[in-house]
Amino acid sequence: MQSAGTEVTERAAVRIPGEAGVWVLIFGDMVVFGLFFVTFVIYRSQNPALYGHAQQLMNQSLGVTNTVLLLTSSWFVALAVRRARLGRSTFVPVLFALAFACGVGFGVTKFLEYGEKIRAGLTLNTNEFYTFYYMFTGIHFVHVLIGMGVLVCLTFISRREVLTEADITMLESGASFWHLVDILWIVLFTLFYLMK
Amino acid sequence: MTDLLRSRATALWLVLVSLTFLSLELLQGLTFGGNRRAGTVAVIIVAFAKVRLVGLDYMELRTAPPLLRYFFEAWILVVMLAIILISRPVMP
Repeated sequence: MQSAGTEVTERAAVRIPGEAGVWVLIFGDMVVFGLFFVTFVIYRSQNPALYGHAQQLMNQSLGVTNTVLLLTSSWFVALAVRRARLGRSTFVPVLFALAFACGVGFGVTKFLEYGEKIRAGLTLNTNEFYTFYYMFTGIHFVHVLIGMGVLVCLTFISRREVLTEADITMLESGASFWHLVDILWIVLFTLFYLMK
Repeated sequence: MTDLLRSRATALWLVLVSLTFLSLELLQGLTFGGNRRAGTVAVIIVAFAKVRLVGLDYMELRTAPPLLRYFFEAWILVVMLAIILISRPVMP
């Protein structure tokens, strides 16, 4: 009995959250985005006047709104996973659905922001800053959409009456991907909206 | 439901949102204060501190096998230092 107990404690102490394969995807994505970030900063340092002027036209309020929405969605997802693991199924699908709603909010804000920029004549071809802006935030938005699809799956999985260990692993894998979406946005927000 | 709101995850959310607004304040200080570069570096460091919190707590890398955690921490360090060292002030 004692050894079994020790084993459980050890497993709880060091464990991979979700499937190992998901982490290959997550870290691969982080490397690619890391290269994007550094590339942007290199180009930016070569033409500070252009980037400074372009950045002044960014709508910081919409950027902050999206940051808060993704942080809040990450919070809901983290709460849902912890609750599911404890075997308390109430509220878990609701929490995943709330995270999805934050994703919808992010999409609406992004749509408004792109619309505002395009109406002001700021498009992909305006200058280097906006080429990077549309490319990186566009690729990130594809991640948001994939993540929202994942959140729908997690909502349905978490509605099962009894969650097996495999179900929990699925929840953790999807949750980790959604947190990645949050992490990448935190850096994008800093690069495009905050850094002067 | 109260146990949810009293959890570490909730405290962390408050910290993350506060840091987001603090970054804006830092930025304003940057506009009116003398030393712009210090403010920019602070904004970058705060951003990666947020990334680290999301990774270690929400993604649960704090209790993951060391290889996973080290990769994550190394990514933060390399990307953050590269951004700080390469970037130049862009505002006139």
